[in-house]
Amino acid sequence: MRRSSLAIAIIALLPWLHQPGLAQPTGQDKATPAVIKKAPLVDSSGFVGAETCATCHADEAKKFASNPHSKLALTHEGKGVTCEGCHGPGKAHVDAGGDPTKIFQFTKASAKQIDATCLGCHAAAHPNFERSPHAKADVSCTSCHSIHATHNALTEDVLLKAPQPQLCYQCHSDVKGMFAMPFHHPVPEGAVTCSDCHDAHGTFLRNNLKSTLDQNQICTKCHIETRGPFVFEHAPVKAEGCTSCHTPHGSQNARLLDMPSINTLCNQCHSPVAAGTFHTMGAGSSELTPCTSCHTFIHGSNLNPAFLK
Amino acid sequence: MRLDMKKTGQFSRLSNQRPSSAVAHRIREGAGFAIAWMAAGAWMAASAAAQTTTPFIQLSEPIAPITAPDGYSLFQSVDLGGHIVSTSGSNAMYDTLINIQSGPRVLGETLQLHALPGTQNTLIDSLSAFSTGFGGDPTNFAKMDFSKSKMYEFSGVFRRYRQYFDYNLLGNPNIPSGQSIPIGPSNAPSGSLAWPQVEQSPYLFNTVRRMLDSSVTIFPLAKVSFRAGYSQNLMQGPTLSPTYTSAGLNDQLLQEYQRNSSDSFFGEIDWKPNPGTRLTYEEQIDHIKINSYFNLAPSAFLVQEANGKPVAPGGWDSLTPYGISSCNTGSMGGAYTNPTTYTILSPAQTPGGLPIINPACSVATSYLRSQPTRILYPTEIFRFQSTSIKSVAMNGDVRYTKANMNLPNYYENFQGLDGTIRSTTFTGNANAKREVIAIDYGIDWDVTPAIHLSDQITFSNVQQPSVSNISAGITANTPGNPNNTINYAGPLTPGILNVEGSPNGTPLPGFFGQKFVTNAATATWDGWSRGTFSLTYLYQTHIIAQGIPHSAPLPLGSTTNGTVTINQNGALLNIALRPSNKWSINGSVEAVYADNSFTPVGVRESQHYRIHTMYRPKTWMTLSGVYNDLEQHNNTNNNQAAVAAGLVTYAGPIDHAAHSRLVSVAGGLFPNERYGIDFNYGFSDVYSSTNICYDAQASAAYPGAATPSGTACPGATVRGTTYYEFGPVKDFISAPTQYGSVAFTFSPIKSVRSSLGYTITSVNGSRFFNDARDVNGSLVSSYQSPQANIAWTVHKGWIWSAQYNFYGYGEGGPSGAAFCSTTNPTPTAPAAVVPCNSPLLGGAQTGLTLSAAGETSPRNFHANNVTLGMHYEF
Repeated sequence: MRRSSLAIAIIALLPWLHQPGLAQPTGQDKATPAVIKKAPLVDSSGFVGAETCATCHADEAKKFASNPHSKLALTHEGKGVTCEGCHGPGKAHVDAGGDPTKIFQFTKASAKQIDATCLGCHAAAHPNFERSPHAKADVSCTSCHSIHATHNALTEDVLLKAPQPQLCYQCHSDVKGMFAMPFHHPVPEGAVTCSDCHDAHGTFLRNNLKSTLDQNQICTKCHIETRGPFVFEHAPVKAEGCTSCHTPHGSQNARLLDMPSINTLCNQCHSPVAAGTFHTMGAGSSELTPCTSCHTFIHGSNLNPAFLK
Repeated sequence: MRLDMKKTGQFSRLSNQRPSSAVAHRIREGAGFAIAWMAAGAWMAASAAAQTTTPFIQLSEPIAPITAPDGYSLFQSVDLGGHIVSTSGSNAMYDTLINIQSGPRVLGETLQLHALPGTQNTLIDSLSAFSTGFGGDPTNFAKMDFSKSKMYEFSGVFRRYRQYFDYNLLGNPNIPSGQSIPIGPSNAPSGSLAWPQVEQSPYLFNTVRRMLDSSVTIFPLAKVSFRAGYSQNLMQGPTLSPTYTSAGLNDQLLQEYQRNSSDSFFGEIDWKPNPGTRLTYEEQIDHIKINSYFNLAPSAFLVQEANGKPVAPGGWDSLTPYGISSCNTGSMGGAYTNPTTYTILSPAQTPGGLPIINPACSVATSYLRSQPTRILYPTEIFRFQSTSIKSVAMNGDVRYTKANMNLPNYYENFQGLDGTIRSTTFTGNANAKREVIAIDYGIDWDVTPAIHLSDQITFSNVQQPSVSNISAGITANTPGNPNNTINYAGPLTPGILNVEGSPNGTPLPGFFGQKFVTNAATATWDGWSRGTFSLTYLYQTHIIAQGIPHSAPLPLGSTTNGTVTINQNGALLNIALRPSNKWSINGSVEAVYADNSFTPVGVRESQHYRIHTMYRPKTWMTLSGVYNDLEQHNNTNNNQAAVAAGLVTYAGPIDHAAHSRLVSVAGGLFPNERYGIDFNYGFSDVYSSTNICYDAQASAAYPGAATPSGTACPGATVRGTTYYEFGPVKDFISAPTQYGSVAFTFSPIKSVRSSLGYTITSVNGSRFFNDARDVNGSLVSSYQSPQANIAWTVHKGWIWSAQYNFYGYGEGGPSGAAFCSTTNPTPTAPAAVVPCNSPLLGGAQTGLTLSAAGETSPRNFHANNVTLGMHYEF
């Protein structure tokens, strides 16, 4: 397909996607469009301002000083998101002497309500969230994000409750043990983070694996030499992915291999039992010497169909 | 490009990573003493200062006063200190798993600059920077962000990771000990050269990876915003790599200097035509440079020629020592009398020198392989996202890539003696393209407040034509006996060397392609405040094409040159419950069935059961648990049609089964600021098995040995004429692993915080041994790390800290009893290798007799690491 054709097709699609009829004529305040739409309190005349909130909620107000949501308001008196941007209009709450039932409480809301409130502004950044495994498990935005403030400067910009991987381990304690195995990706060491491979907000792939431009690019972004294209591909590497031979989180086996020795790994496909079955090369390689002593370019080769060099 | 890499030191550790020698110990102790002295000095200074009225004036003197710029608040901190490390046992393994060395470090650094409310007309509203680990730690991290309200946002992350990998069991040929090559006449040697066992991993890595990711967004809140970014990923350093007959008569161990990098650029335009819709166009360009090159490993030079030039005899993975079969006996002169009386090696001319090899014996003097490769990946992406339609959210993307790989100048050269060949040169080129068109689309529809439907469709099509055009080997040959020697100075005869399977001067095309279509349709009901239920139907079609031609299904009995189609259907049920406000539990059951698979370990049937639960009875108490069970099967038999046609010998069912069953519980109890406890226990049962045939190398001379009549597998392989196929047997791994960690935190007074912890992962597994020289290695091992630390706030902004870590790695016991042999094998007496429960053994099995380390150096180690640091905020 010619690139110019694609560009034309994209340009042609733009007006369709921007059909006025498809858009919802809301006339909402830009600063809080989704809260008005999604949150249960929608009385736009009932705003009291963050200063009023601060009179009772001084602790939260202090923490907001470095909060990305309120940076604009604090530094430029602009339209930053403050208390009522998320909690909705506070007049009824104030008039009722602070009655908590008169304002949207995240701690009492369902995961769906919380997500709807946050996605009102952040849907463009996390468009797959509602279809994600986290959403299906009722893991909401505030399960991981601390909206008022974070005490960890490293996570301040994304308001995580704790830095990775500790945050993820709170629910995925099974994975914590994998990363303690002798051979593991250097996640505990801080060289790799969970979000290098996973997008907790959902993707088009399974297990929240990041959607990438290219197959296996989650792995080949770092392991460049295996990306290809190769003249002679080791087809399962591309067709079944890196995990057909490797266990990514952690393993008792060196190089995170699925099997403890190279021969036992290779022989699973390359022995006479599998000969003629599917993609196999028969039994020619079931010898005692480790297979990669000769087939060194096992991920793919530009020179030799048998991956010898 | 640097082509000469004979510095053997590159395969030692770095200057701060050398094995424990006496000198290294003195240096280590010296460094440790210096750090201890500094830390103690800081402690004493702080203690003394605490008794004065102006305690920190003196301490602060060396530091220039820091003043925040007008209109900003400024916070900075720095953590200075270092490590004192003491190790015993295998330093190679310590460096593989830990690799923290002694020396001073900048343990951390923080800078935060925020504009004060009301500050205007500045270039920066907010800036933050962090770094850790600089000064010699294997992992360094640095992050910087700065932004200016509605104008721009910048984010950059740099990571550096040094990987030292020398797990000597991986790829080890397990050469038996006690073998040697006679020096002097074979029937009356005056000495011997030990035939070396392989004590390093032939895939040793001593590489550094540097990863940079940066991006800037212009007008992030505007209707039209722009984003650009640059990422670089660089991996470089020396590694080891085997090779196969490219470097002379015998296999040589090569060193590969790797320098692989990618530079990725992207530019993006975002248009938000209305508050609920965003359209994005992105162009991304990845440029990959593979500049690795190979030459002989320093350890390969075991002998020398008479002129003193070190040469590599090869056969690094040979179970039998270098012998007369590698020599041109007709050119050895008086050194060769008959097949049992000959002289390959002569004594060194100087004490301690390398033995001198007969000039008619095959060796490599030099080898170079260079294959600089460039790959360009331009990709256009269009994305859209919209919530503008009431109750509907949707998003999608279209991506198009046309990548080009170009290897313009392949060069490979061998010098030495390989039979009559004195040199061989290969040249050529190769290129490949990868064209990818991919489309993703997802839609969510809130049918009612309680009922939601969603669908997700993905499509991708990859086409990858390619061609390799590598010459046959151009050789220079000696004229024949008695001149088939490495020092023959007369004219050499040109020749051609064809390599089996290689292009040999004729363009050899290749092709790979695949197409995916997936769909996931979900219905969700969350009308009950205590629960959410969703059911998903999963579908996928996967078509794989390879070889030429590849437009039709694989022909009967063929394994290449055709297409394979796999259709997959499945269902996924998710349930999320909140029995109380303090307890949540969610789980899923997924079952998937495929009508075909690409490989024997490809999944035909899969079930995934998962439960997560969390209980928070108190604000300070959290208990959680996970059960995660993935079961996979492929019970496909051989291609029965091909068997019926006589194209394939039936050797039993594949019967592939694998599971990963994980159970874990975790808890955190922090009732107050003074003390708390955090614990985690996990058990993982990882298992995989597949029926295989293997080369038994057994002999009927040994009790219980398998015999050819005892196998259902086809006959001997082409190269294994002395072997026969045994089986089928279960090629399996079972790795039941227990993991536990506990940490107590204790803060007796506000200025002192401490913790005590312990982590262990222990596995007691087994595996299939296709070779009696194999050992279980890390499948029977414990890896533990007790630790303690204390932090003392000496004064506001001054925190002294000390941390102690013990690392212990041990492999216990001999290899498991999954497979038995009757003796420790030798090259001339290969072991009988049969399943321990084989009736052929007749109860005579004795188990393996190798040490836990096998035919290589042991891997156990202990290490004591002390980290001292001073945190200073200003």
